[in-house]
Amino acid sequence: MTDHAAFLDTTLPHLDVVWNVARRLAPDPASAEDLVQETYLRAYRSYGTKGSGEMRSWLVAICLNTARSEFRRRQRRPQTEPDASLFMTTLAGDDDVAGEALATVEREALGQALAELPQPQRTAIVLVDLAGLTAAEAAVVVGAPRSTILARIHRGRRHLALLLEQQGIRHDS
Amino acid sequence: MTHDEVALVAYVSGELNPDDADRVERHLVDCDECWAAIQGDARGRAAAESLRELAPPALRDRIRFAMEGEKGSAPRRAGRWFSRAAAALVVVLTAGAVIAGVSQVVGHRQPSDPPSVAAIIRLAGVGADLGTAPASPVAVHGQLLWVSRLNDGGIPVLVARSDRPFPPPAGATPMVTWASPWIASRGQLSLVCVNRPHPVLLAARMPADRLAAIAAQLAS
Repeated sequence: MTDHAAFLDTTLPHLDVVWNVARRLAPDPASAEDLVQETYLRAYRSYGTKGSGEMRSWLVAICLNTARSEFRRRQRRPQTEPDASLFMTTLAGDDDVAGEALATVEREALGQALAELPQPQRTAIVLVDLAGLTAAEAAVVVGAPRSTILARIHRGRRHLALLLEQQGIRHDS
Repeated sequence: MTHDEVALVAYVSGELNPDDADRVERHLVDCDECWAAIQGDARGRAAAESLRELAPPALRDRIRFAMEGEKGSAPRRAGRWFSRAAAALVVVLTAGAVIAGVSQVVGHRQPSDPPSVAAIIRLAGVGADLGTAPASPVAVHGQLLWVSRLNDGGIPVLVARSDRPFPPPAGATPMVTWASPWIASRGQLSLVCVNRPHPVLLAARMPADRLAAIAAQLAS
């Protein structure tokens, strides 16, 4: 029988990882929160049948699959335009400090540039650079060879750097 | 070594063994193309990593709360079978008790609380660290709940607002003096529900009359 407390104790330490994945898969923060919640609910339902694999990768895989299901579901029904106020809230809600505003704008540009990458590259970068999975773990989650993941990460990173340079944003390591 | 992007990114990611890393570094000394590729990779990686962020503080409690709602409805064969078996046993015991005139055997059995009320009771029992402002709504059996917490003389009070009235649990007492449809208790936990101007359920480990006074302030 599923142990509710044990499930939370085991999975909540990975909430930041799941959040970072959801944040880049969902169109806005509110949808990302919904995605994280649905991920945890689905994980809870199948917790009793989970194998001995790593918990973090397991949660990320569920999040990825949940996002795909949601994407397909939305494609099957009439689309509505995203609420622009969701994005404006992020900008207008912050303090009117120039530095913070610039940082916010830069993050928006970064997020947008990441969203413009081809989906396989974006997924690989989200799993490795944002979620912190190793290439081998990401390969298991995606179901692709590790070498394929490494190639996608490399092309995606270079593509991302190029997109940002075109916007005058440069991130040096 | 020729241009090998897999080896390059494995090198940047620190996933190469010392021998292979050494071979890549020797190649980089002479190859401008791979050097530029590695620089681009590093910049892209730094940019992507700068997007890492912590989950919103309220999200942890939202998950915990949603799980409480799920707890009562999660499909579990063993649990469902047990519930049916237990229900059948209760029916048999009840019938037997009536016949034998010993109804006190089952007199203390407590029917299940409505899911939204049960979720609030469990959340209050967990003592979750909720913010003072209502977080994102959580759906419990289709009922939307906005949960926050306030402090009354050092005692945490769980406040759940909803888009529809909270159904009274078993043992609830209707209150007729003001806009509070019911009051109940579970152990040391008091529950007070007010339906006007909006449905609000309060839960706290304090006397019910003290909690009702807080509810009255919120409703006014």
